[in-house]
Amino acid sequence: MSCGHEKNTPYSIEAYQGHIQRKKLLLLGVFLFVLVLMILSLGAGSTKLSPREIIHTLFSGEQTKTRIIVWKLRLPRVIAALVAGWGLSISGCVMQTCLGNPLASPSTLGLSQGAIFGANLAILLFGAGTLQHTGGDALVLNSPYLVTVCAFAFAMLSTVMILSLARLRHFSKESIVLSGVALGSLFAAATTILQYFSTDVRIAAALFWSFGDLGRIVWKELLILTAVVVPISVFYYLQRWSYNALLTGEDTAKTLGIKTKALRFWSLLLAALITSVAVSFLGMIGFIGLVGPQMMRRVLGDDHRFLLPASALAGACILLASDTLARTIISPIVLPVGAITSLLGGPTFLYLLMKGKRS
Amino acid sequence: MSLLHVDQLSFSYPCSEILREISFDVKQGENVALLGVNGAGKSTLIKCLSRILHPQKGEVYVQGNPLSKMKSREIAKRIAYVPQRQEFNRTTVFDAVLLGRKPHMGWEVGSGDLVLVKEILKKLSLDHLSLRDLDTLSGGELQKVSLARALAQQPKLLLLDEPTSNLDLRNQLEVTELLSTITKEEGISAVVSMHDINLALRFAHRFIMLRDGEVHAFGGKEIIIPENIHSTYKVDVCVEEIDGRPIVIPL
Repeated sequence: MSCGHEKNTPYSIEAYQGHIQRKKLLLLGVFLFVLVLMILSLGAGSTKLSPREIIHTLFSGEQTKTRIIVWKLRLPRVIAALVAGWGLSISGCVMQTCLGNPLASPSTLGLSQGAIFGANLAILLFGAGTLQHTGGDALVLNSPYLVTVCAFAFAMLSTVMILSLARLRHFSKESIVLSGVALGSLFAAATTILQYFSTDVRIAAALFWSFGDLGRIVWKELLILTAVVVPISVFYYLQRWSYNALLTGEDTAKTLGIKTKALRFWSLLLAALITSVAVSFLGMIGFIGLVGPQMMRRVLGDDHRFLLPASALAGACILLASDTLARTIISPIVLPVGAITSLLGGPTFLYLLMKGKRS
Repeated sequence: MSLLHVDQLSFSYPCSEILREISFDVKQGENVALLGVNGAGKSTLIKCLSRILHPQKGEVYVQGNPLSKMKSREIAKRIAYVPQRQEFNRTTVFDAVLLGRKPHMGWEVGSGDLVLVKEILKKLSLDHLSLRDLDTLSGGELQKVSLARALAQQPKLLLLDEPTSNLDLRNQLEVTELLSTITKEEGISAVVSMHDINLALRFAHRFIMLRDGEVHAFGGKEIIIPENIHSTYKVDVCVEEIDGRPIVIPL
């Protein structure tokens, strides 16, 4: 990419501004792509709807069957995909920058394992859910909120443990990641032991929970998720130059006036909050926090002025595309969306990695 | 009044004392070279001066203000630091240098910031690399970008930790030459830790010889004598004058 730029006059401020303009256009392109995807996704399903019908239903007040399909069934799902994908990806991006580790993600901090343990605890020990073969939805959770609260509590617990260790014992970035991996395996082991002493039906329920499903969410939960994701995203965007400074190394960042320890602590805590809320409402949706930002780093570079919004949009895009595929590919069966995100994201990511090496 | 005043500064890690009662002054526009063997405490001293590390005892004053009482952003407007090793990533050279404006920045970069960055890039002959990503640059170019970012902070004092240790001979000379010119033109001071005494002699006005965490000798070219070098580095040297410039030759 850089070779092409050098042919223009790279000596002027105009050239630099042109370069910035191109990044903005790309960002706009991704945004428009997400909008188109949203319309397509609202139209896809057992009742096919044309874009014209969807737009009409969205903006007119008529009480029709399509209105119910769009507003009650599809829109919460589509918005959940957008908000959760946005949140997971932007928090993944911040985790990678703060820990200086391209592999940093909720599972590296032991957060996902904590959430799974919490949900297992609720389902297996407190009997919050069983698996029944009645109708389309096999998983019946007697008290879904108990599962959500437990998952959230343990996800946050693992994060708070690691971050306090890091604060009290002055851990380096590497130690944070390593202690996250250690804590993660601790939770995984505890989950295994729980499952070993439980009944088949309950284990199946716990497993089903961990698959991740956007259909679970209702408007109220969606509101909570949005209320968490939006302000934190704003906070992240305000810190964009500070994150750029962190990339130059701890010492240089400090001498640029950044309070690196505080920035890292709050950024990671808020990232954990987003992921915990998302995981506890929707179950495990892996890979987006890793792939979304990494894709965009390759396309747009490491400048957080563009990387943060681009990662968020990429995450929204991947999750929405995955969910739309998951519920249409062998309809009426809905595949676990977490598996589809990895199926779609994996090859795309490998392709970008290989393309990056060549240039 | 001196620009930098270091008063009885001591620093220790939990198990070992690194710096003991260091005191010295740097005048405005003066270049000071920090000499000493590996482990003498050069990097630690540089980090204490830039407030990356907080000394347990003593105080550092910049333009009469104690660093321990200043906000980190205020320090960043006065003191800039160039680390020994440069991190690289997928950021363009222009953006990397623009980052130096961070302490002065409001909500967004202003057009004044862009003009300043452009001028600095031109001065360091980096302008043809403006839109190149950092991860495509050579070691010497990266070092210069880091120096450019430090200059974009418009500091009164530059702190450089072994800026030439990873560079080839040509780049070593170029970077020191550049440092001399810029500090002279802009009237800024520099404290630079260095391994190569001859390189230090080319650009520094005064020299600090650190030994076991203490100032062994502090002064102008007159302190670069075989006795001092022997007690600092434990090697025998002679100092010859070539073209009116002292050259240290190991025996």
